[in-house]
Amino acid sequence: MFKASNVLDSTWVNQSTSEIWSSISPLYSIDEDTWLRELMPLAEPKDQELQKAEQLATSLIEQVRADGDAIHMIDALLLEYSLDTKEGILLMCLAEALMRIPDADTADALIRDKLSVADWKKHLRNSDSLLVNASTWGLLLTGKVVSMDEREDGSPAGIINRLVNRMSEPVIRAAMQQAMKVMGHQFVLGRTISEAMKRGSDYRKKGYTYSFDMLGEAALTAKDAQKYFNDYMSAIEFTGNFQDPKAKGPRPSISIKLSALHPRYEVGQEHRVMTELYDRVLTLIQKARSLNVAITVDAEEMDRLEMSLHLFEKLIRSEACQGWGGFGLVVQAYSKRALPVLAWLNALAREVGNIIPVRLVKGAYWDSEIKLCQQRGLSGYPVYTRKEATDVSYLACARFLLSESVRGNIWPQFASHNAHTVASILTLASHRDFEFQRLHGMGDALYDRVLTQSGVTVRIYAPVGSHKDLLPYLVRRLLENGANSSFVHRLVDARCPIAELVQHPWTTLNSRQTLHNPNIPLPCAIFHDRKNSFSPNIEIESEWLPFRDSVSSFFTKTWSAQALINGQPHSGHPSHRVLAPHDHNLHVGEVSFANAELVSLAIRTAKDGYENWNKTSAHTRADALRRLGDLLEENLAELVAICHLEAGKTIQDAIDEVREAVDFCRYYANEAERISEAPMMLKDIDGHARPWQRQGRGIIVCISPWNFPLAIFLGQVTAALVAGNSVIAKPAEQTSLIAYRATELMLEAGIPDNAISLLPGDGAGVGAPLTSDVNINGVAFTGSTETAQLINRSLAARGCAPVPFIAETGGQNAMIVDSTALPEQVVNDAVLSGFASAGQRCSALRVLCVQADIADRIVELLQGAMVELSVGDPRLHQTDVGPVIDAEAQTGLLNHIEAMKKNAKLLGQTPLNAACKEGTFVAPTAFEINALSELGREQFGPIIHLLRFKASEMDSLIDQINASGYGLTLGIHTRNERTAAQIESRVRVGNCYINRNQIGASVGVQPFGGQGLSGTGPKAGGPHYVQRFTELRLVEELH
Amino acid sequence: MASLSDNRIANALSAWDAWNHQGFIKRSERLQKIHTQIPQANDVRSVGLLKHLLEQAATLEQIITLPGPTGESNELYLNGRGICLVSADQTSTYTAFLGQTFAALVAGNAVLLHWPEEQAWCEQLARLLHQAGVPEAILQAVSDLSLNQALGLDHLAVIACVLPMNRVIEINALIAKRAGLLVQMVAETDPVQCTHLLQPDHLSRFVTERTRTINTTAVGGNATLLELGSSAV
Repeated sequence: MFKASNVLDSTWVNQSTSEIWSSISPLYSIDEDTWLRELMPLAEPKDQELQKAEQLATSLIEQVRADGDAIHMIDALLLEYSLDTKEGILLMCLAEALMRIPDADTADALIRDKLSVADWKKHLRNSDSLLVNASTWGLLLTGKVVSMDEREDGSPAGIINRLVNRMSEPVIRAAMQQAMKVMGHQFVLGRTISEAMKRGSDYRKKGYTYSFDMLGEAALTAKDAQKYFNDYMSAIEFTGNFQDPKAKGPRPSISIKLSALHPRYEVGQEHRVMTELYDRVLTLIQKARSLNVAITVDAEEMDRLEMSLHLFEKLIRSEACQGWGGFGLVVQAYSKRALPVLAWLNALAREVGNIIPVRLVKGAYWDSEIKLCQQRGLSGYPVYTRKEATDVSYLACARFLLSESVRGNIWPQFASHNAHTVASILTLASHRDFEFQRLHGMGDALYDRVLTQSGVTVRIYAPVGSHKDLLPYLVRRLLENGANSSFVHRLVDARCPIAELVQHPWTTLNSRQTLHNPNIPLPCAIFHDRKNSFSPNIEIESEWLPFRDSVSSFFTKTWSAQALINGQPHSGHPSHRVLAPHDHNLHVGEVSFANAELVSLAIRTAKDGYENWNKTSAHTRADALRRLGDLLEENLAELVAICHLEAGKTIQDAIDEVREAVDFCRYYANEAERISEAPMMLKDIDGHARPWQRQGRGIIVCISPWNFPLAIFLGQVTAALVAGNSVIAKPAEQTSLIAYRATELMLEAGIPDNAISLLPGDGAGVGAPLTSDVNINGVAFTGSTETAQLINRSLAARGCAPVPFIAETGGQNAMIVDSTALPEQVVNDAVLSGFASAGQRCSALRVLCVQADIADRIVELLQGAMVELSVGDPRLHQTDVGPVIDAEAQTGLLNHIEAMKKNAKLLGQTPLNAACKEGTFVAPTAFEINALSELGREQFGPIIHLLRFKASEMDSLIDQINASGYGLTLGIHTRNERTAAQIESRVRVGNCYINRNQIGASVGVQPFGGQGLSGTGPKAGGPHYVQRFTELRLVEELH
Repeated sequence: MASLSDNRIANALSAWDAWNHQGFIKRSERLQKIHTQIPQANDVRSVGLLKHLLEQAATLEQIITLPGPTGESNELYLNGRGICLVSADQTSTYTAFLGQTFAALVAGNAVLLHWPEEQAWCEQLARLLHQAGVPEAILQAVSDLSLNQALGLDHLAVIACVLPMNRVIEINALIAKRAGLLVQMVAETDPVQCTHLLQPDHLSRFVTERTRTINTTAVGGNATLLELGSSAV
């Protein structure tokens, strides 16, 4: 492991970039305690440093608090409407969405949604700020008016009040729009760079300088990326040519966001990043250098760090940068990799002979980093889980940046609003070759003192652009990071003792019982009763490269499958070859389908197997499942390889497939123990209590689909097994190989030979004889609605008592988007929901219903995003969309596309490359339709149908969706929580997802299954599933 | 099997959403007002069975909060399935028939009563329940139809019957021939002891599960996590 103290060792520091690079990636999610013990000595203050920093920080805070004019602009707003109050959150939510809503009705509804539920009165006159009080009066009046039309129980109040409300709406809307513009004015320095220059002139006279940023969303389309590029280019030109005679201090610079300059700034698309984005940034650099305007590359999410460093290195080694010290980047101290990254940058600067400006920030995406790691089951967190740990890291990095071996290589730019951090840096520094940075509108009073008293340059990071575009972005960052406990808030809050503010973070962290935050469990431990399934992070070199090699080692292997009964393989029909869906030249293995004799043998075996297995304790059965879960993880690489080759799954899809199977094993193991432990006393009709015990029902047939050939296969089988049944599994004929391998693992995990049988084959040869056999005590099925009906008839025709039939079938899944939604988020989620896994998920989006007022923008983004998709070999990291499963599926989808081309408007179709001809590919396609009735049955592939609706037609839209009879998943995108609740309660679906994508249900988190034509329930991965495979029997009858 | 459209189905469908959204507790309370007053079924056993079912149903109101990653809320809750035909023949008891009817109603379904042998009693039962606040469209008698006609009604989601096993098997084969959604067969074959009605899994056959996932960070950020990050533990 990298030793933190190495950075103070000049021999180590003088190593080459390639030597230091190897220290970075392994720290990605290193154990936090281990790493912090390494890092802390670097941040530990010496006696004098501690005292001096405290004194200086105390003095700065006292001066700020003594200044009657210290609290204004955003500081004041945040102080009054701190984000731990309902009003603060509501205000920011309104600011995030209101300005982009084009239609009056939806805007009014959002205002009602946000303003009528808060207590604005309590904020009145709490603040000295005119802005805050003016806003509060407005909000108070507005909140009163908009809440007048309903009583507490929701019933309409007096007609007068309602009239006042309706008449007031245009006035309120105008007032709120104005209020948002005022807020926008506070957050954004200028709508144009010239306005920003003009507005910043007073600060420049004081000695401040600027880094301007045309902030905004990451670009989804090439067109948006071009727009951002043009904005940056104009900003560079204007800044370079602008002369402010009264300005003091260094020249302003420009900050750029790489994800705004390319629609696919992702590790999987690194080949495009290193060419297309490289060229684009190089052009900006050339222009900037010619005008002597420095450029800083902003930091983004942790997954992109290593790629961004690769790109930065390539750029700074280019001729355009040689001898120029104006190209820099941002490093986030909350990253565990921050210190070696700085050491690497130091070596890079030395090697290229340029000074590199480096802005050290604490980090801007903390909450989403934590959330993503938990969702993805990653090895740990790339960021610290305590705020004080980030502060410690910041000071450790600062000590290195201020050391002599860095001086002259890196130009440190310390960005912080924390007075203690500022004081510590001034104390640590033995020279003044660095600068401070602060955000526009924040920390004015603090930095006025720093500027005048320290002689250090202060640069203001200032957003520039239209309020409509920037305010939502800035507010989202604020909502995500602006905790009330942040220093900005506490600095101006006179109730917070100064002594608390000047405590050194090293002291604080050192006083904690653990260095990591025990309140934030690791991704593997987010469930209290089971281990979360694991995924390597394929965006991180240290995890991706070994995983890739491990998976690749199976690419030359072939597999074989046949019936597996009583632990023995049995050949039935002659074997046939299995070819990879993405390339029919690739031979994956051989499968022999079971014949009628083997079906009979499996039933006899299962009858025998049931007796003993059912008597085995629930605990023993559950343990076998847990072992199976562990075995699946141990065999992850092979299973991923089979998923690629047999099912055409992309890398992350294949990993998620195995994860879901693992989660099923662990979840159902717990469920079986929960429901089967002790007999339950139930009263009979005469009130006499008698003991009953849950038992397996007998033989369960599990018929699984090809689209989740491991997860659903094992989900059905393990639930039935752990309940005490013996199981005969019939996998989809297209995916027998992985089912065979999974069955081998079940046997290895301790499932008895005669409790599980595998019968590969088709519906006619295996499925039908099984479901028509009177010995079968239940069926679990996932597949088409039509096949479910056939099975149901087959079971019912047996002339014996009905048995449980659990069917998960198709859907005609919709996503409803109103005009408050964020278009970029909608399109990201629609593309993922509709095209991931080539649209071959039961939950996949089929109908994107968009409020007409924003439909044009959504269509534009969707078209642009579809062009950027990469369709091809699922084994490649760059591939977004793999093949469909076989020629039959392909033909059906292509026929639908051809038919739709005649009857509907084609919005877009992703181009396919020549290699796609070797397999069964269908290009992601989008059509616009006029009514839901234009669609017939579900098309199980990468096809989205867009439907516009008017705001006033929401109810009718919901009726149309319900009228389809399907009810599996629904996506909703709206910032109006009442709208979301109303839609959710009316649309009859099994799984509803609000403000996110609608695929990827997680076991035990989002139990999955539909209603109506979409399935019978109970939901897979839910608390009622295992129970359905059991029956209650009187204990006295069991013995 | 040919499907049969009927005004009563249209009425039931139009009223079902509101009934379904009342919730288990409200429905249970509403039915508790009447459960001791049903003619022919006010004996201890009948009252005890209905009380048991209504108490069980009230517990289904609970929304289960599911664990998961930060920044997202996940909830599981239950709804009625839709339209339920409650059917019986001469072998049924009032107690068992009432049990199926109450189970279907309290679970949030619209109910069609079909007991040709007890047509008058069914109408009387319907009137009583309407007086107790069950909407007329939610509880309707269809005993005027033959069993085959009743089984062919459009939009049936559940058939709750009190019949001997051989009849259950027959009916199950008939309803399997229907097109459209798979109709759930919930049978009580023990009309005297009501063994199935008393089992804890019985009510779950009348409901469907729903999962609601909200990305809470989209509206209001992740204040809970931010607080955790600053916690002094």
